[in-house]
Amino acid sequence: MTQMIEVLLSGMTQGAVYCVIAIGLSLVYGASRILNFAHGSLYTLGGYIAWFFVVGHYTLPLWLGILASIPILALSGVAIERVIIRPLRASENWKINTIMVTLGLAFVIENGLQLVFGPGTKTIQPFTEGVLTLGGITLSWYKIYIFAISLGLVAALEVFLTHSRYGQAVRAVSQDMQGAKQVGINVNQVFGLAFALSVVLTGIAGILLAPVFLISPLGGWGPFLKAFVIVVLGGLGSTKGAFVAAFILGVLEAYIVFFLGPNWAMPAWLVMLIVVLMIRPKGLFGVWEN
Amino acid sequence: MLELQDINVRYGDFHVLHDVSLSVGKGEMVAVIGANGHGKSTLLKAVCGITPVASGSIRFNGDDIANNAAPQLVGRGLVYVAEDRRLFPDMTVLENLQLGAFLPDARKKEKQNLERVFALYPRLAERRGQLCSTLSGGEAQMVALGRGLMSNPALLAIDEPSLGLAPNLTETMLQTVATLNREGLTVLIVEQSLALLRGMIDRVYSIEEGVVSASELGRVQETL
Repeated sequence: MTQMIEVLLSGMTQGAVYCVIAIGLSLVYGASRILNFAHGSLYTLGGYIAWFFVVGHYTLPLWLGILASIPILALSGVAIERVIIRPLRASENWKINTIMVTLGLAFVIENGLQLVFGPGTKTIQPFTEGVLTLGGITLSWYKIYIFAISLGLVAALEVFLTHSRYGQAVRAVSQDMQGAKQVGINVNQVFGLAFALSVVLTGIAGILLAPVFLISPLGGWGPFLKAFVIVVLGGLGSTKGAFVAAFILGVLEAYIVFFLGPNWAMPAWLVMLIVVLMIRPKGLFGVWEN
Repeated sequence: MLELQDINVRYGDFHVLHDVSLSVGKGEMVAVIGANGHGKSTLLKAVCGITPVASGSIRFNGDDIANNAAPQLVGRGLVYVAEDRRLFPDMTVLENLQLGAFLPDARKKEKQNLERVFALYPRLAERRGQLCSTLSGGEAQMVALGRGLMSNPALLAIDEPSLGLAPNLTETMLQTVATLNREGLTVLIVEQSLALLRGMIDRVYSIEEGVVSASELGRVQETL
């Protein structure tokens, strides 16, 4: 029983980080209807930027490394939207074009990281070591921090989207782009903001998981695929859906790994994707039909 | 205040508006009347920066604004209320109205304009926390008009406010627009039937297959 609870808690921790990655993907899709295939590579980029600050070039503490990475990640998001995505939006087949181009961008980022940092893996020391034991249940302190930071990020994003003027603008653009223009919202600025937030979120997730998994140039595809399944289950463009789906799938993954072994994790995600698309293609809270 | 000179609009190869010219003076309420599919909505969308203009000039308070982006025009006081309302369905009535005051100038008067909208439509005050996707057609039209007023318009361009509304609601809606006009708001309104606007408008244009002609109000009313 104790073991089952430990697996559940571990799954919830994983789910919380997946939630951060998936909400980033969903946010951009919701606002701009662009499925960013470079999202996983940007997750990896976050890990490498933090490694640069914490291990590679400077020896900042990890929390300071995260803070130093945020402006770089945000600027990367703005630059991707401004330089790559915006010109493509003018083309007739922009939805397909942006998928192809972001896929190409993923390869460019991966190969760039390989050239700069080498093909080998890197790691970062966590903020804290040790475990918490409570009623026979053991959980590492670092995972508790990951859980808390991830939930904090999701809560902060929710407050921003609900209560700030620009957050409301992001929601407005995702619900009716012409309506947003009619009230004076500059939709291009909103796209830039959505990309910036998205890259910051996935980049921070990459940093948080760097001490748990190793950082490698091709390491973003797993998290991207998982985020994609979460977003499809939650409903494309729905942050609420991504939140719920991330926890469901994170816990499910933890139990699959526990009972069947880690090799079954990725096939299980792919099976989940197929099942979701067959049973409920618009997801739990989807805006697909809009 | 608003002057259109030889405006042409095309959707690909389809020529929708042909050399359209019209004007709206400050404080006037001017109507464009025409049947479905003759270019009424396209005309308003072109004026308000939603649809690009192929040629011609649009002057607003003396400045050429043809092909200016819609958000820029809202900042100048040219506000569009669409026939299909274009509300934000998963946001509350209050959030929709607040977004009407998105730009800095409108934000300065947000509280004052919100009180004015709630005074015009007390039902919106009662339903301020309700999602717009759950409103009736009449209530949605009230939010659309209210959101337009929140943008602090100098000229309100309204596209078929009667669309999908019961006759009594249409009359109430148009009476509200007429009241706003009497209080000094300039209005350019598009409708299918002049009968709905009887006694409210100063001048009328008719549009047929994308060609606009100025009509004598009395003569049009007689033909009705």
